[in-house]
Amino acid sequence: MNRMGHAYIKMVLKNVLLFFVVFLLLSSLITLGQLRLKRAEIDDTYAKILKLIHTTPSLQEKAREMGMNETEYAWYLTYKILEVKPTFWESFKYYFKGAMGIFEVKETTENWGIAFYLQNTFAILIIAEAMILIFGLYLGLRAGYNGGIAEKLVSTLAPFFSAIPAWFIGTIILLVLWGLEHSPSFWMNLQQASASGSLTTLTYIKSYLPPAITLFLAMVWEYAFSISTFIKEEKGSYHVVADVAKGLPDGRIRRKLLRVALPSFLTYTTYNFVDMLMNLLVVELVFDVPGLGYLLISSFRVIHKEPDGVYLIYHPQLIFFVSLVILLLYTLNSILMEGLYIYLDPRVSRRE
Amino acid sequence: MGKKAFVAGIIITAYLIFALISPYILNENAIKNWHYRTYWVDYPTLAPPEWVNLFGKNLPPTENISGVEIGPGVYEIGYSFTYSEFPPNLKIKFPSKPKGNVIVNMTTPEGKTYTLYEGPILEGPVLELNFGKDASLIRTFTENMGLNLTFDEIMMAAVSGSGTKFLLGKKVGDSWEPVNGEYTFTVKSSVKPYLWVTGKVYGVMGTDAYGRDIWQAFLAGTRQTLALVITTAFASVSLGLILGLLGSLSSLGGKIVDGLSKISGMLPSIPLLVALVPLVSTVSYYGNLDVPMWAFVLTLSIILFGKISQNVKAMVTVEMSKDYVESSRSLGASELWILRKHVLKTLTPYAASQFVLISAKAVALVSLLGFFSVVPGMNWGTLMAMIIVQKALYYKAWWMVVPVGVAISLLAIAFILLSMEIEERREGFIA
Repeated sequence: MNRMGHAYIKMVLKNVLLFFVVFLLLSSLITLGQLRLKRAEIDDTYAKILKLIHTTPSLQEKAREMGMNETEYAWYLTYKILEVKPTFWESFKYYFKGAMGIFEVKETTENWGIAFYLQNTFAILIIAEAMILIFGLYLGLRAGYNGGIAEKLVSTLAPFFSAIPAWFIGTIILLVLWGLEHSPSFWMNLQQASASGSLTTLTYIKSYLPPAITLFLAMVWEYAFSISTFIKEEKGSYHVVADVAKGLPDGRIRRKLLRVALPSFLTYTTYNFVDMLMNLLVVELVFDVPGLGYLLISSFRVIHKEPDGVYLIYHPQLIFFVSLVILLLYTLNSILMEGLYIYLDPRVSRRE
Repeated sequence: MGKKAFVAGIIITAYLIFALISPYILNENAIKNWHYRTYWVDYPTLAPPEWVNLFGKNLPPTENISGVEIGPGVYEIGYSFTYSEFPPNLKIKFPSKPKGNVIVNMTTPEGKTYTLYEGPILEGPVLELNFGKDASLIRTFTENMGLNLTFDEIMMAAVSGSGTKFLLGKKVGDSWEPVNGEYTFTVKSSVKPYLWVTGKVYGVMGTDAYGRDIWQAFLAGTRQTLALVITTAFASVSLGLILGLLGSLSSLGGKIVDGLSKISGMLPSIPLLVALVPLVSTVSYYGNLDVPMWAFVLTLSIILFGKISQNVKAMVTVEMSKDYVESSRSLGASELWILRKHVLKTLTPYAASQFVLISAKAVALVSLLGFFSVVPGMNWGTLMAMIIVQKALYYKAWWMVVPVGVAISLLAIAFILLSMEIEERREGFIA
């Protein structure tokens, strides 16, 4: 196998290893959290169940059938009711199976399968990424190579938009759409179209656009700024000067510059992918999109109930699932970007 | 000092001053009772701030007007009603139970006087006359005013909380229009009463769906938000510096730091903090969920240190291979001395710029994480959680979002400008 092949394999193995390490870390925290939550209830529930078994002949019969004494059966029922297992490892496996089992859920309380949530998140992510990459590359190249208004625009807007939270941009867009008498709510649009019998793919695309545009506006300026910085650094190098002296057309020089600047840009893209995913989770909430953000917020709620205090609603399987999807997306993106990096930058494969 | 640093300095100083004085202008009771709905029952729900009236609106504000004693056991309360809409409610409240009967008369701007109520104030959790929603009171005063309403009209008004239109308006066709002017309430009572008008606008930042004063939450949240941001930035930069330095000392250390940085960059902040909440949080005396600050700061700094440690490692490695460092080493200088004399000189401005940059990121993260209710204490993130839970945007309650969003963005912009200034100076120094 040649050097490049080795470089690819090493890169994939490294990313897969990182994926497992981070997933194990997150999953362990989720499991420990659930165990801690249930710890207070375990003794209480066990005592009540044991008392019930003592006074219920049918339960005593069931215990005998399962080959357990009353105490063992009481513990068995306690763990079953509270959805925990006696040990950390057994709880971990239980929640992992539960998280994987979500893929088999055909319906949720809102009659959507899990695929619907994933479809919405992926669709917005793909549209936003495509817009950011295309427009960011174009604007960055113009700003870096030609300078002028493009450069002023990018260098002014990049710090400004990197400071403004994406959810705030989404809020402004939402309020503007409301002002224009156009419903920005994803779910409301689908319901209206469904009620009028006009629900098509175009309805979905139109509904994905506001959150996608939000992400685009939040992130494109920084992308363009990074590209323009890389291009400006390369512009002064000898090979570009030589190309200009040779009289090569501008478009060709720009394409060459882009190819040179692209590896650094790909590293930048990988690093910011998690930021984009986190912004996406919140932007989904702003536009009422049933996606990963909605699943995550449903997995954990704090309810204040006077005068009892605080109730915690906690679904560890949902957090497991969302974490798994986010890490998978990140790993795939990382493998893709680093693969492109290896392909574009021959120095990497020579070093490997 | 450059223009960017000057502007940033003014903004950050203003926020710091605001954070210092906010505990002194805050209403402590409002924050203590933040989760108790009974405290907020008299406040208007989803009311925009009072300053909207400067932009063409003419909505009644929420007012608390004390009675003035004009004779033994007789109090007068003047209410100036000059608005285009009726206030949702109007109550005469008593701080303690009056002895015997209470008589309430009202004089309209047209000079007519009506007896609104004559009778005892019944013992109960609240001592008040509720003219907006109490059906029997509405029936009484409308009869005295000669309005002759039907049972359905009275019940509709009581249920919808629109009894004030009978007090402060006149019927024109099928609808009621406000009659503007001075209304005087004369109350004969053994206890000094006050008039509570639940308006359609409230305070500096309006109210949420439970009637809670958002300005109080903003005041209470400013100090804690700044504390979270600065502590997180300090912890992230310190962790990045320490690990970067350790990573540069050996190749194994470098590989470990690289691995840790990759893990740090990969960790998704929101699921991580959601997973941590049941692990580290406790329930406070008032029945609130308390996420400890140390857990939040430590987690965020673990997420944010990665790039810093890699850059520090690279900077230290480059610095340690320079000629003058080699010369120092050959003259017998220890590694610690070299780190102190040469390396820190390069690292200090970088650390300063990263501190400021991470502060900007932390401001945005606090607001983002607030949507998922995983931020400790009362801070601007708490306001974000309210927006989602109460579906504020879909009620067009822009006042719950826009002022806080502007405050967050302005602070983050200030940090970014400062970081840009430091970077420019650092690059100029290096060049």
